[in-house]
Amino acid sequence: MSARVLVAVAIALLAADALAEPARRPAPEELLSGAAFVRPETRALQDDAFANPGLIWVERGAALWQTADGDAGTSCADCHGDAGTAMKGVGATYPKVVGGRLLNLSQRINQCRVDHMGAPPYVAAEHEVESENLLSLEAYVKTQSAGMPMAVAVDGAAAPFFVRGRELYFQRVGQMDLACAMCHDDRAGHALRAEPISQGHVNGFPAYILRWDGLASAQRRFRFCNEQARAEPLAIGHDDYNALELYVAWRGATLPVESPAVRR
Amino acid sequence: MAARKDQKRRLKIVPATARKGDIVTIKTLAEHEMEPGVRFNPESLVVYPRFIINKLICRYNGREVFVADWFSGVSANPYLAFKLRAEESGTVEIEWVDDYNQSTFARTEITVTDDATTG
Repeated sequence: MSARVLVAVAIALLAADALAEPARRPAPEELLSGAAFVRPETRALQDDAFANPGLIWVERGAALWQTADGDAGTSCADCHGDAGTAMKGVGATYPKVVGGRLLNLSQRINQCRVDHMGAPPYVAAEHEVESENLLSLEAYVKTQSAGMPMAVAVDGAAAPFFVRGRELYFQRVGQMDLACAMCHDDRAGHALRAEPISQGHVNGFPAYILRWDGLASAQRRFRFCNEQARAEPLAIGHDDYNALELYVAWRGATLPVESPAVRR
Repeated sequence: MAARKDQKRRLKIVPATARKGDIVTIKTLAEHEMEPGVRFNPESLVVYPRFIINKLICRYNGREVFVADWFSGVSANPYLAFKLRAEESGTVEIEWVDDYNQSTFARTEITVTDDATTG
């Protein structure tokens, strides 16, 4: 056996072993959504079907769902029909491996636009951090799964991405030398300066973030976490962020989808 | 934030059907950046000019029944709810006025049943 084959076998064994021993995660009865760590007023805002500002984006997403676009001149609804039926449960299963790549929900929407509608992918305009249209559609799709448990697949084709995501979750980064786990596993419920530390779940995303006055994806929130740890944030949609989002979604599996949640 | 012409306005009366004299809640939500006028671009040091909704007016069948003056510091996408005594069936209209005196409107119907007929 050549050295290269040996290395490959060793890596495969390690990966298989790593998968066999899932990292510690909160027991199902100890899982707490981010809503448990915000103030009661913020929680009330999220639960109010009128006042939740994230619903502005959902409303816009519903309109986009019906809007024909691209060379094919079709809308989402032309193929998928009613989102309430077609998209029920879909948002709870992302990030997901599609054609050998791990895609998050927004990337999947863009892929569908390019492949089936002949439309350009939604990209952030100059004044935007993220594409508002893409966020709107993502929120609209994900909210169809509201109340359903998060259920991402981490075996089969997704296994290597899951292992990578877990590695990132426990990797210490930045000037603060912090790993995600150090706050969100070990110190959840404690205070980080004036803020309570949540368990770091993504079931509420895209969520309305009060400090940003708008809807934001989980990966924008990852960037913010990285910045706070004085680490170099990755681009939204980066493969590593997708892997991390997969791990975090698995970690919070069985939590109900809350999008659009309201968070500090 | 969406282009101004696409910004959403929401209005709801809870409950939409009431008896004469009942107190109902008017809920309003406007999508707006509510730029307070004190922030600046850290690179160019140019101050973003104030741009807020500075007045909300509620009309009940054309009669002004509630006015709120807003100042900078009100959050983006402002939500406001207040109580109203149901007097007669008709239209409740909300007008939001911004710093350029541009108005946006939302209207909804309220049904008021007479106390005598409902016993």
